[in-house]
Amino acid sequence: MAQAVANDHGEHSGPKTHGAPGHPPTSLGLNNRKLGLWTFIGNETLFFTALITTYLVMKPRNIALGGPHPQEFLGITLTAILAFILLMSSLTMVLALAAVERDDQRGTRLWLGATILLGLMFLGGQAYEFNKLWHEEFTTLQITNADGTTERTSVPTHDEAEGIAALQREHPGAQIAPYPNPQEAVKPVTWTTSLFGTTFFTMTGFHGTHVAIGVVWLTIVLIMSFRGAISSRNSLTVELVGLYWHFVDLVWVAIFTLIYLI
Amino acid sequence: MATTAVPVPGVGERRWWHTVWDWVTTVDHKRIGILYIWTAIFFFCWGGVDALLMRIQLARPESAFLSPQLYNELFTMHGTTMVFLAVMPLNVGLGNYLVPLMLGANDMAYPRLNALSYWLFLFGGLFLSSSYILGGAPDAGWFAYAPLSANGGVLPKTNAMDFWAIGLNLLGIASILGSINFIVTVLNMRAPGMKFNRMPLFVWTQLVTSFLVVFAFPSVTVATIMLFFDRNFGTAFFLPEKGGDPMLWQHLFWFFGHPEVYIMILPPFGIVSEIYPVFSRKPIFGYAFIAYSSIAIGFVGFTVWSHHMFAVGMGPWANAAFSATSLIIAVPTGVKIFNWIATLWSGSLNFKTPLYFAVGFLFLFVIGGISGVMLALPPLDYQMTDSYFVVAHFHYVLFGGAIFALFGGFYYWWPKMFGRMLNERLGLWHFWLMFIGMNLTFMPMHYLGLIGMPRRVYTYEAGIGFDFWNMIETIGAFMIAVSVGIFIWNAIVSQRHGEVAGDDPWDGHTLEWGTTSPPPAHNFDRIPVVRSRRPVWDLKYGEAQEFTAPRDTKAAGTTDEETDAHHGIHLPPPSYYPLVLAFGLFVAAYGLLYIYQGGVWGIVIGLSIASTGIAGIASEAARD
Repeated sequence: MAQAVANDHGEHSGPKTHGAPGHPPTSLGLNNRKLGLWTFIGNETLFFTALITTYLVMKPRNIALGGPHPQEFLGITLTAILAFILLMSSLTMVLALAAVERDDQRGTRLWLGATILLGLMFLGGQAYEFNKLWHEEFTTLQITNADGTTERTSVPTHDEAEGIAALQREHPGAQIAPYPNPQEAVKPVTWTTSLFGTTFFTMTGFHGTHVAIGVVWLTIVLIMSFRGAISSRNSLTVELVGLYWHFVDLVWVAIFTLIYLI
Repeated sequence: MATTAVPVPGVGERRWWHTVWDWVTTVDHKRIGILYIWTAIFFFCWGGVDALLMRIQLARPESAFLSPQLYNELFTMHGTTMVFLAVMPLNVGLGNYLVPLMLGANDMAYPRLNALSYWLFLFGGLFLSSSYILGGAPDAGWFAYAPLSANGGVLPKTNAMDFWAIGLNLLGIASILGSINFIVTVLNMRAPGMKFNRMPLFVWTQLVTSFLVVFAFPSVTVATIMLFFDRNFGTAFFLPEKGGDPMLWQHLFWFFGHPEVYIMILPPFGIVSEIYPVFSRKPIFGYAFIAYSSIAIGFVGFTVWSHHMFAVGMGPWANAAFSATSLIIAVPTGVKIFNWIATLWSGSLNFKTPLYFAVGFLFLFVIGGISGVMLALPPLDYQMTDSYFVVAHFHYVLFGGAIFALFGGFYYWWPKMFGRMLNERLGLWHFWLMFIGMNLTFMPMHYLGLIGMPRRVYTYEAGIGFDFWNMIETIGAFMIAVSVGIFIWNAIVSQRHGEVAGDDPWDGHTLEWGTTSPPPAHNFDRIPVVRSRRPVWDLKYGEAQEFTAPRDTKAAGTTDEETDAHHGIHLPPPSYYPLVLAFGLFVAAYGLLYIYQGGVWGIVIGLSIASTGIAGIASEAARD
């Protein structure tokens, strides 16, 4: 029965796809709303490109000015977990769309709910990381290598001993001492204390905002589903939020790679 | 159509407020187009008054007519107004009116989003302009170079540049949403047979322009957000004393700013590409070259931005590269110019006002193009940058180019939009006064720039060779003002006394001439079928016997009777939610501006209003 109804989803209804139920066919055979969302995603891609580029341009400048090294602060473990959570949410999103297309109401709600939950977990993790960075105190150290060159670095104050031990392992034979000039001590990473903090919080903050908007959108779709307003006939409603959600996840993959891994 | 007068709920007699309500809640692309055009003409006049005040100040050396501060505000607002509130919305307005008609569509792809774009544009314009009475207008130039615009901890803090940063984002949202609408409309709403290679060239340029907006605006969005953060929240993106990088501002701004130039000039290219063939009574020469050179301009337009920054010290390699791309982009532009000339060549010219403006455009734009090629050469640019030579250059392309083409477009399509011809005599007065005034105003600026008169400076010393030509320029500027007055007078008078136009007064060949003047709400009673690039010509002179195909779709949920009455065309009902949503963002913008004076409440209230609007639009869209 579901197949017989004019379907918004191109695969089932062939080239004569309708713009919307009861509307004339579109020239490209692609639904208007979907095409519009794709265009919007193109726009958003450039938005995040500008933010990420700003981060990358400021990174060497930040270090040249004695700002904190990103690697000193950003724990890969937490972020890797967050990335995993977000990628899993893409999977549940796909499952939600598959469920709605075969008119599986329970499955739709289950997977939409799971996607929302994973989105909230990501946001919680990000809030935790922001809070930790913002309040973390750092001890600034100077490493004097065996060949006489010096480097400035820092370790979290509450883990000082362990941090120094780790540095010793990385720099065999080097002297590690408190940094001689307290003027240049590394400050906590807030939005305004260094270019790193400024660009990092701006970029990831905007990404988090996009995730939050996605969670709100998904919640609205979930409520619609509970009211019986979502079926295979208008699976496009789920598909659109899915497109947006996958895009937001993809941005995180870019941020994770460019900011945390490199 | 006579049987379906628009019903007014519960009232027998139509009063003026019903008319106002109709316009406020309209989602009809033609009405929205007209709203865009008249609002933009209003802001065009306002920006023109800014210019006249500056010209009065500069008419005499060491004049005290304006204070330096007010002069700074005026040149900033003149640029910002003309770019964002005049040329862009004039293009969008004409596009809104014409693109669905030219494609044989009943409306834009998203009628409510279309209304939202207009209201955001209007409120963005009001927001920017309200700065005059709320502590002073933006004063750091329309390019808002940091750190000057970011205050840098030196200048007294005013809200002026916050108005600019927030206002630009309201206008940016309007432009981005509008462009998404244009892209989907052009790609998806074409009548049967309207292949890409049969689309009118005006539609082509609107399509390319929309892609430019979608990909260029995010850069300025990010830049203005960072500027706002620097000014209000203690960050240092652009503040060198705290380690920030003012160059970053210039790159982000011009990565938007140069495509913006093509955003402003491509639709006027499209306008003249429609005027030349109709008034030469022959097909356009080199259709494919004109269409595809727009795409080439769109791509190359993203690679030239740093030619605005030759003098800031990027080094010879960067300067050479951006110089090369800037010279290359002259090629597709030149391709268009030669095709236009070839269209006019040996044509049977019908010299009416639209063609006067289109030919005037050709003269003036070529002059601006050549001075542009000169400025693309770094050694020359070092000498000329920040001088009046640059002012002369971009007024030849944007005033001589865009504005002349737009006025040509108005004389051409006014009869379609309002059903009456504009007066030809007044039109010629308008043209000649504007053409002579334009050259008097801007031609001497080349010379003044070359002998060293700097731009953006509120006065000059007497006796260093600037006096005479500045006076001439001021006289020219007032001639332009008179000519614009003649146009507005012409538009108002013709509404009542103009000659009735009929459906096709110019012997046109694109689809808009195949419907009535003005067209009915649904544009075409039956969907046109397109067999060539000149569908209306085919109908009048060709072998095509029939123009239309019967509708094969019926709006869901309508009775047969309703379907017949509307020729089977489903149009969305009027909606006030776009206005509500735009108004909510307008309130939130003021909240953001006064964030340290309790503006958070403004943001909360504004976003609540906006959410109501979003919910309303979503529920209406679901019912459609």
